Amino acid sequence: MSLEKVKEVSDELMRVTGVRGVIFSSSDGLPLHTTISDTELEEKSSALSAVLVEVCDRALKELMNKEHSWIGVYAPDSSGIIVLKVDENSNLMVIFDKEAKLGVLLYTIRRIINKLRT
Amino acid sequence: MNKVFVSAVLYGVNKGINNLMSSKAGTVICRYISKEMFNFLMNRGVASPDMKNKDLEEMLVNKLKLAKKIEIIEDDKNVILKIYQPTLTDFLEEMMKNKVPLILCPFLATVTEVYRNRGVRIFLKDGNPTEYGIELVFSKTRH
Repeated sequence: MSLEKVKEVSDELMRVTGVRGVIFSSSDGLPLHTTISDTELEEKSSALSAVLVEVCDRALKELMNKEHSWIGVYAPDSSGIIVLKVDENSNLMVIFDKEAKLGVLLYTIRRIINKLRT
Repeated sequence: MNKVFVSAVLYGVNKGINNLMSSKAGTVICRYISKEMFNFLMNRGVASPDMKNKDLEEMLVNKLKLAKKIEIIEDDKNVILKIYQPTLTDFLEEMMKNKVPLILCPFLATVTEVYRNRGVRIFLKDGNPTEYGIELVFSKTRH
């Protein structure tokens, strides 16, 4: 997964209506590439991505013996975050507001993940 | 404070996090715990943000009394911490006996923070009992 490709797909994701931020981070919770300018927030969201991915993986494995596909966390106004594992070494977090259409967003995320994995 | 109690707390934190989450999630959480632990030590005048390895060895041995002697050996790729006669042996023995991955201990917390303050991220790669005590091997990444 090259950094150029990551930047390219980040730009693509940022063009989706309602997307407010994209964070690519390592599986041990360190920032790789983000569209967030606040360094502290960038570090914290990278750490949170790693913890969310690991905890959700553990929950599904313990309860259903399955792996997660993606994680959605929503606020009451329909804004929220989507987190998912890109590969064994990296995670993606997408922050969206209430204007975002979830179907379009998930479709785009799946498409770019496939692009990154090839 | 009784050192058995400190060992119990450390063992409980490591085992509990490993049971509920994974060692990877635990490592991320413990990075934040280490940061706050180190801030606490700085506020108490025990640690400082720009410690040299000699200062770190002195703090761990003389101020925190965590071992009889500590040696920090460093090269381009690794940082090796040689811990002679550690005092919190109950916790470490129990961890090794039950094969609990080490994610938080006083050595890990302080050494990773001192290196982070220098702009160097280090990650625990290996931990082994030796004839003199314990050897912790950290891998280095710069950013």
